[in-house]
Amino acid sequence: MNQADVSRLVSKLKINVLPKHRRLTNPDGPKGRMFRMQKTVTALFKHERLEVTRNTADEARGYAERLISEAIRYGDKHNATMELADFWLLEKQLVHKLFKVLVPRFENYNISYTRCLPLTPTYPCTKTDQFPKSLLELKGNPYPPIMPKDPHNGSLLHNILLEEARKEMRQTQYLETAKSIGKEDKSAWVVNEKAEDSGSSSEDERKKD
Amino acid sequence: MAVRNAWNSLKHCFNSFEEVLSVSLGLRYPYKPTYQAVLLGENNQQTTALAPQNSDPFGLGDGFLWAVPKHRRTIEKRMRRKFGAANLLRIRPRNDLTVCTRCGHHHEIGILCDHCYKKVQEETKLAQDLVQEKLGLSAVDKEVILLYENEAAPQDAQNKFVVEVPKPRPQWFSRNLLQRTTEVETPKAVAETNQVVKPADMG
Repeated sequence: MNQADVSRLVSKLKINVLPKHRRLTNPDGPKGRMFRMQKTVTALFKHERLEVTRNTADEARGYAERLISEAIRYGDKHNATMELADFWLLEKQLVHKLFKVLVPRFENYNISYTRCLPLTPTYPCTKTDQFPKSLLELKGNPYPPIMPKDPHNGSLLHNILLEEARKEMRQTQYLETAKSIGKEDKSAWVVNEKAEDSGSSSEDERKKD
Repeated sequence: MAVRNAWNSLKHCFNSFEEVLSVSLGLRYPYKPTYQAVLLGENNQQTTALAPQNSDPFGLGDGFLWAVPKHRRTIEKRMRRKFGAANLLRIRPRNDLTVCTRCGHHHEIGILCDHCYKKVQEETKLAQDLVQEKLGLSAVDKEVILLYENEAAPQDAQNKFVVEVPKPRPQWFSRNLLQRTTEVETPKAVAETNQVVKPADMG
């Protein structure tokens, strides 16, 4: 069967995109869902860090990454890409931002352009606003980092020094045990001799009495 | 009425004649009455069962009954409902909570520590508001840089959009977030070169 090679039509994204889009609840139905996606992507590009409900964040992430990958692949002289940017970015100053700021930033990335991390849910999660949220952000943003760096990273200087100190400690302990191998007090190990001794001593005591 | 009867009998005559002629000449098979199911009996021979006369006694058509038990409740289930079971009210422990290594507060595994995040959220919101105030609706064509109180602008400030934040920089928000200590990536490659890059802009 002569199947056309469709694997290179679109850039491969470094995130997991589900095979079917989520049917997010919206009073305006699918159109409303699409509008919500547009607003979320616009807000993400504008503020670079956003708190949204989990499913919305994951959906918007896919669209945002696709938009950035298309902009990187085709640039700003490409009509179709421009139309795409025009559709997704409801505030038009962000179209400038996409091609002038984000494309140079993400050009050489071989990782995802966005980060989506879950936030603590505010129980009870009953109303729409209180549903569990996620933090959605563009990488390389100027704001303080949310994830603390791994303190157990073995390549960090202080961890290397601590590891060496531990090795030294172990070495000294081995040396001490090695030195004391032939010099142990063996009398503690033998029980019968001691019992005999105690027996004989008690006999002596009785004789004395 | 009589006319109709006559017409029907005529039709029937014609149809029988047509069938006899066609089947004998081998033009087609005889029409069979409608069967409910085609059963495969022994030796895979087709046996047939005629449809019952009264297939729709309640006149429901293709409908179905709602809110009606589909199966009989087993004695085990009945006893459990009546007398309870060991794991009826399962009070399970939460094994998905852990302690944050930075602040010591508890949080769910796989989710950001709330105490740590609140700090970051406050700072981010402040910075975001200032950035948006300064940018307005003008076309964004430069990377944004945050400059806290008593800080010198970095060397490549010409190509960046500087936003001043009127407060001292928090201890936990280092300026140096992206610079590597060496130009080369893998530790082996690092060991091979004797290159040392002094990190800049350390708070």
